[in-house]
Amino acid sequence: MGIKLPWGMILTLLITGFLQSCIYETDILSEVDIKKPNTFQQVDITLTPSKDSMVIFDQTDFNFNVNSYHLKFNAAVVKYLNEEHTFEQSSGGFTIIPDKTNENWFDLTIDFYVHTGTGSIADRLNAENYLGSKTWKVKYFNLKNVDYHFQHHLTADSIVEVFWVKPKIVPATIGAVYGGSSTKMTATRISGDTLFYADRNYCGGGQNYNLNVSVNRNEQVGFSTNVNYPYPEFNITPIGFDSCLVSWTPSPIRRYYKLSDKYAGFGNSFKDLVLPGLSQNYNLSTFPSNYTSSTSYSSYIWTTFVQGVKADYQWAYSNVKDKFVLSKAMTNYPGLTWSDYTLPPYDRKTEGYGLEYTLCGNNAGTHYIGILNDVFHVFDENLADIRQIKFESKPETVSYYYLQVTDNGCFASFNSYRELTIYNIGSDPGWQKFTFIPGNIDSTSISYAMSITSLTADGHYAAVCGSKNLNIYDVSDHQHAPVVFSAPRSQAYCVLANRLNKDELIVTSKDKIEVRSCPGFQLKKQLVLEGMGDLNIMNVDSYSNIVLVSSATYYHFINLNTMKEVFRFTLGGNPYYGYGARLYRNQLFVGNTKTDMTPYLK
Amino acid sequence: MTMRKIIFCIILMLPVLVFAQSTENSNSNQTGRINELTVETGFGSYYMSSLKDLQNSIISESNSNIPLLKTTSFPSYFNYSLKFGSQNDKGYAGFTCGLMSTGARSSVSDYSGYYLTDINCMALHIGYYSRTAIATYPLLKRPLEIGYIVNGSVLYSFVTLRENLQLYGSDALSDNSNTLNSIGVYTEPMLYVSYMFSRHIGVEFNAGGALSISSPLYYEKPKNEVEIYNKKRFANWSGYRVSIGLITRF
Repeated sequence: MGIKLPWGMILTLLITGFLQSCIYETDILSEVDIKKPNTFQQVDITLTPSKDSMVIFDQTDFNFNVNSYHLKFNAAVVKYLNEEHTFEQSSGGFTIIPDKTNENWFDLTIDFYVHTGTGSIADRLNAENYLGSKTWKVKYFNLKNVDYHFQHHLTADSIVEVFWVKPKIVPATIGAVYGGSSTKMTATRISGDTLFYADRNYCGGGQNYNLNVSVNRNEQVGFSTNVNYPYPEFNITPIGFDSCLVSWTPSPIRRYYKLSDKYAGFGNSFKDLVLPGLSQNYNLSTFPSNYTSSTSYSSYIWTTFVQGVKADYQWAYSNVKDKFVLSKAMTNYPGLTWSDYTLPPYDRKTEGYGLEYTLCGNNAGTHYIGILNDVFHVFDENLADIRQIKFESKPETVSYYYLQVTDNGCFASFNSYRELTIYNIGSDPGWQKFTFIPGNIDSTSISYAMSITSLTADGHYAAVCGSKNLNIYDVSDHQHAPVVFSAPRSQAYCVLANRLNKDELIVTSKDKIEVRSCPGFQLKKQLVLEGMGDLNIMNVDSYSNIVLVSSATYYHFINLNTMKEVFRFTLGGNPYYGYGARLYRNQLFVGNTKTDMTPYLK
Repeated sequence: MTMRKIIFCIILMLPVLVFAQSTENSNSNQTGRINELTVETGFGSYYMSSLKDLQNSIISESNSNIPLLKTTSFPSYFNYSLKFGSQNDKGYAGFTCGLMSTGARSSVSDYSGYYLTDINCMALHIGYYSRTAIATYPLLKRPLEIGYIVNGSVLYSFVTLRENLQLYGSDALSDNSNTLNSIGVYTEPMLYVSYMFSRHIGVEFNAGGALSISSPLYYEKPKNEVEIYNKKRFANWSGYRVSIGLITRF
């Protein structure tokens, strides 16, 4: 029995197929029982800066931190704009470099993956995670394009305040304000988005304020504003004859002022006592309103004020002619000029320095003496220089105050407080000069009161206050000088012949001023000025018959007609001021000024 | 893989073709010699010590990532063989061929997916066999024969290494396989008991062992020996064998 070939082939193929299907294989898997993780798990992420919406101004560093609550961190993916960065640590940092042409909001998203911690295959392959994601809004803001409105103004309490408007979305720290170039200022108040910086130290002058804005980490832009409120200037307005209102230009800025040692405060004026002819210096220091004793002044100005009309010349007054003769400083040879009582201002500082006479004249206006160097120049009533007399004594020994010209042509000088010389400058040819030494004079102990010698208006008598007494000498013969009356000095501290009455002497003693007869020395009138002590006689104004005397405290204006004190004013605590004033035609001459006292002498 | 199957089929067909040719000859010669064709299926163990070591290395290495468990490790498995021989003075002798397979799996799975590595082994052997009867006893008027069979074959092994990582709900993260080969010699001495139900049909029972000696695994060509985990690896098919077969004699 045989097997045919086709059957053998079929059998072989069947066996082959059967064997193929019987090759070892297994579908068994070793299964591990792992519990499926919870669907949700708390995972937190923090980002610094941390606002939900952030504005950046430059490339900005961010830091994130994922708190996975003890689960193993897998990865974090940071996405913004077209950037994507993967971090394998739970915390990290990245830098956003903004597109400066795009100021739109964009998303910053951080996807973070935390292992489930189950230990499953997927977990081990980092394919099974708790997924968290958080998105922040970010915007680039170009600080260069902002108008910060950096300006200044004055506050309600007059303080300079600079300010700038901060864009809402930026911190105030981007801007720094400097007073000048280096003094950083601190914001004193904030209103909305506007920051104000009050400068309480500013009180005038040009001042720059600068605002530096950090537009990015490497670049600043600057703005400035200039404040320039001028410093004060003086304006002095005379008030009456002995006061003035010292004022200075007000400022919208609140300032603290110090005016010499007279005034300190925030005001703009001060009324001061300024005696005629006395030069008064004023200096004004300007301080900030927050002045303390240690504050330095910001400005310092000064000026000088003299009360009265400048009368910088020599003068003589004739009541008969009711005119003044003036000797003004001339560049070349001096001359004399007439002037009425208005006496326009004259200041040698502006008119020019030069030669001038020491001038003296009589009340009649017929003779004038001008002294220049060692020569007496005699002028007639036409102011013609008609005669020169060589001055025998040294010029410095001439006491110019005691020069006197009488109406009858006598000119007397009291030299070195020792000898009285009388010159004939009139028409009498019988004599030229007469000198005598008053017997009551002790030059070592003489009291240098004003007006201690005087010739009567007719030139007959000379009254001399000596060391111990008053002597009246008869000098009418121009050769001898017998004493015709003598009285204790206590009765005559000063003596002056009345220019309007040749028979009268005006004398002062303690607290008294008297009109006495000459040569009898009989009391005719008397005025008691209680408590005024010794009184110095300045002169008698032949125009108003007012005698000007000074005590240690006041100038007294006494009408000889009524023997009443018509006016007085203080010496301002300066007794030496009480030696220099003269009154002619109601014009008070003192300190190279003249002041019209008419309103006060009525 | 398809080419490999074709080669495998051709190899299997060779004895059949020889059988067919001899059948033609016997029919023509009428010499009176008896031929036998035995188809057997059996069960055997496989020593595979080198590849077991490889599996252990794979598992050990996996601990740092995804720890694998030893799912199977070269278990005893079915094998198949075919004998075709002619009667001689002592018994029968002729050609034999066979197929063996086993494997090892290291795997782990959970709710999220699975990860496995397989070492699947298959071998073909072709050679000469000799059946010798020791004793014959009548049973139900038919002979019950006891004897032994020895063979000597050339062994050709296929070792496929596969790695597959799969997360559920997604494509495989990894699915790679490579096949290595080795060649060697193989012998399978066994005792048998056969019983012929008729003149042409019978059954036999075999028990014995197998011994194989193979070259190291190589890739595509024998000279391309490979080291896996720093070692050359061998497919050792030695082990015990039991089988049952269908005998046709003609």
